[in-house]
Amino acid sequence: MSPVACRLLVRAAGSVVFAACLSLAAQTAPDAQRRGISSESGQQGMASAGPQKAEFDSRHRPITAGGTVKTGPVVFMNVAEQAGLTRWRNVTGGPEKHIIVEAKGSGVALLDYDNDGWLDIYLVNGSTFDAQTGKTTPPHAALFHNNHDGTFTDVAAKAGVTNDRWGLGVAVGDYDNDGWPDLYVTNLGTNRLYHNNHDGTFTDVAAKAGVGLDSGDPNVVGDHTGATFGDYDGDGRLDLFVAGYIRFDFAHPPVAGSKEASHEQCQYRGVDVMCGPRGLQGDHDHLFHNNGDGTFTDVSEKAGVSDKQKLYGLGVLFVDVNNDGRPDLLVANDSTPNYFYINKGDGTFDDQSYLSGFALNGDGREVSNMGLAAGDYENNGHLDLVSTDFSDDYDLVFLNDGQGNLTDVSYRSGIASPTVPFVGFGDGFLDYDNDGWKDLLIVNGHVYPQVDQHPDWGMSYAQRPLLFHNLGNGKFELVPAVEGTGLAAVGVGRGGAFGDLFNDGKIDVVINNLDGPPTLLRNVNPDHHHWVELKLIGHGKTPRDAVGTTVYLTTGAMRQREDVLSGGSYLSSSDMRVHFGLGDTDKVDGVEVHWAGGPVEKVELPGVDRIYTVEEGKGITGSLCSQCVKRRK
Amino acid sequence: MAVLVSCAGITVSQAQIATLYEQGKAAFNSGDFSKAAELFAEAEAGAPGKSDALLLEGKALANVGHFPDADAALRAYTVRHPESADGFFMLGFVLHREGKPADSLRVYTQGAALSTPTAEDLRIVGLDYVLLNDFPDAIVWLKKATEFDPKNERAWYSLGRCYYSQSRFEEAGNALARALELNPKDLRVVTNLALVQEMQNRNEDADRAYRESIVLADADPHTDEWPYLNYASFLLEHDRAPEALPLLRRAVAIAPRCADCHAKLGKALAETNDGLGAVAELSQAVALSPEDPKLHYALGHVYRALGMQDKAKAELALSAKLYGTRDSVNTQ
Repeated sequence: MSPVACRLLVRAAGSVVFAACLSLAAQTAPDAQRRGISSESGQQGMASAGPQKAEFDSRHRPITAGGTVKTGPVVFMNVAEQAGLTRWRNVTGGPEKHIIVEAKGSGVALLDYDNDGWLDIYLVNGSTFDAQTGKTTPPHAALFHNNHDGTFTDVAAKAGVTNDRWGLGVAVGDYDNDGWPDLYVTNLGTNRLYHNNHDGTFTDVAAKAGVGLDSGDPNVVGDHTGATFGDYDGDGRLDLFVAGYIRFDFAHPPVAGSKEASHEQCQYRGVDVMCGPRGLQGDHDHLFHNNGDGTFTDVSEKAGVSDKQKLYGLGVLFVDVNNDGRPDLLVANDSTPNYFYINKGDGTFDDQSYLSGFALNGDGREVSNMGLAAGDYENNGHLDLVSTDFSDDYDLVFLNDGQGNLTDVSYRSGIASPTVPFVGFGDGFLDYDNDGWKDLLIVNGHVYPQVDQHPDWGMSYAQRPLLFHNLGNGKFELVPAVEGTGLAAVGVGRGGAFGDLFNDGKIDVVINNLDGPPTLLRNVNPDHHHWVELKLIGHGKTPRDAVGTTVYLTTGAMRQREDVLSGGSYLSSSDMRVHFGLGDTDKVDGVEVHWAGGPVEKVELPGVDRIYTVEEGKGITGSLCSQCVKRRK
Repeated sequence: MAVLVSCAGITVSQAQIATLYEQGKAAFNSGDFSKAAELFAEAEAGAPGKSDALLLEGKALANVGHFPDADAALRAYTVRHPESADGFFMLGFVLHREGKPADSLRVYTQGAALSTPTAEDLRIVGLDYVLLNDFPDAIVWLKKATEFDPKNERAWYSLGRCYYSQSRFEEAGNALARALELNPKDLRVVTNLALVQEMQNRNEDADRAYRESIVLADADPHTDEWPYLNYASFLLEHDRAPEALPLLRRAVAIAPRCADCHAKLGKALAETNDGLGAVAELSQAVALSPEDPKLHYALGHVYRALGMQDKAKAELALSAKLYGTRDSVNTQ
């Protein structure tokens, strides 16, 4: 029964009872009509193509939770428990997910906050309505210090980064160029800018810096989501972009039946679910210019990126898409067209969302964009893009012609079909097998717990991640999920961050699961391919952490590209060190560093299987070989 | 002695009224519903409330699609004959056809208090719930309709469609299979069975059913474009654009004002490297549905692929403008 006022009228002979529902507008009668991938489902809160095929495995489990195989290549193992991460849990609202803010989950960042050469993990936490009103203790974010032995210790309280607000996103950036990574944490409400004090602690300076986005009203707040650092004006200082999702009123939440939400936006496949985002009041995006004195100025309007329509922003990323040396700006908008702002080089941006092909999918339809990934998966020097998407729709792969003209090649690339039943969130390119070709991992998890009550839909609330192997010919192949391995581990996945947590040259993945412990996918792929990683340090007009820098690495006929990025994925921030798989090659022919500040520097690497530190103008200034240390022992 | 009554200012006898009534029934039975409606109206006017002439007038008017007039006649009849379940059931049907499902349900409820409804009545009740977007209740009543009369093919069909709308594909397939047993040549049923099988990922079965639907559609001079459009869409999704082309050309021929048909044909042409053909079809789609931003977007990107940048920009700007006319609260 739909949640409208219906009343029983009479019980008549023959046990026939009719009830008249009084408040709904008439719909069309059912008739033969296709509801395929190219049609549109406009009568629900999330944009999708309408119900799609139900997929089950041989044991009739929904493909999103099943579909596992007994044997096959073991790529990842979930070592979260052994690593000590599972004592922490994400808590976001109640389990029923009556309100959209309870379902969005949180991000994760990989950063070396203490500059010991090992990545640490920052996991953002959500909150509850009781915690927001002081009735219960709020859940806290975690800062897991890397103990260098495969384990981690939560030092968030000591470090002063527990947040204790309704957290969503995180971006890493050394905004004051002091050589220590700072953290920007977005909240449902006022955001945090955690300045790194160089002693293992942080101080929230958001208010002083002018980037808190405090609404001034504790009840009516902005739902801030993705954040990304980037130096858009080339002054050598990181600026900050923050996406807005909805304007949220704690006193009048958008629940079904309220005036804040219409009935149609509270249904999925004809079933009552939480409302939105369609039909809800959106919120603006913000671009903050770094003044160089610890403060920022909101230049969103002047720069042309204020999101006048208040679309539902989620994943955001500063990245040079059109290869002109300046960071452009990407915004994944939920259930509305994406933004692609081209950096004009004069402090303003040109909205090329439609002309570029990034606004909509190949059918010209707006989709529920969540997370963003950028990577040169064809090794042609062009950054291609991925946007994750809702169930009953495919995750999008945009091929870049190098000038920022994007084409939806989702089906051609082999990504589209397998992703349709999944709700994709975090995503990232990673060369998991170090063969020199960037693969793709997508973190999944549904937003509606109700899907578990409809097993015939072929989808589940908790879902497994999808790993696509790059075949080197423009196509990807789904890597089978072997039972008991990380690819078979299900969770309500949200944020995902990518990086070499164990300094072994293999890219690992940390997933922040909604209302659960995190997943740590340790890369155990049994390849023996070579690799190198570069930690870049900028000077002059290049930000100290080198965000915005592009590195080209050549081995034989293969030329790979990597970029130093902050933010991206879903509300997350990944390892800023650039990583290159080399295959069987044990010699790098050339490395070209295009520093964000302009200079191009050629670097010769003396060996492989190492993490090199490269400083702008100085070349290699350090190297780390954890495997060498092990061998010496 | 003959009893005289006044009819529209003219005095007629009871015998004449009986004749009018019989003539009305004869006209009704011969399919001349307009004439029947007139005759029943005269018979009723001659002897108000004395017979079921008003009920039959309402039925006759419904048969010619004059639902507001039928509504008025049947309302009058139910006032004069509040004991007539048939009157309420017929009025319920007419209200359904008028697009007044809540009113229809109320009237069916009144009828059900007097007599058990038929399977066909229950089918209409189910469809009332469909109009109210209440598919779970629609399923309840359509199931009951099939229990009352397992040979009601339309009830099985509607039940199948409702299950399909709820993504309950296995049950949809079962219901449609029952409908197909009763009428193996029902094009709508075959087409919907193909849709269901496609949703169950039974692509070979779906392909077979779609092909059967095309055979039936080809033999049906009254077919609409949907069988062709459905199968073509299936083929496009399976990277079989060349096979989709003739189907989409047929769909366009049947429904030259179908924007979706032209758009799909444009897409199929673009995928078979006929860029100029794609422009022609997408341009027609845009002309037919100029407010659809998706069509401008598709046309713009075909122009872009052809190197016609100015035209591409113009179309993409139109798409942006159409999407951009809404802010977030109007995203529906």
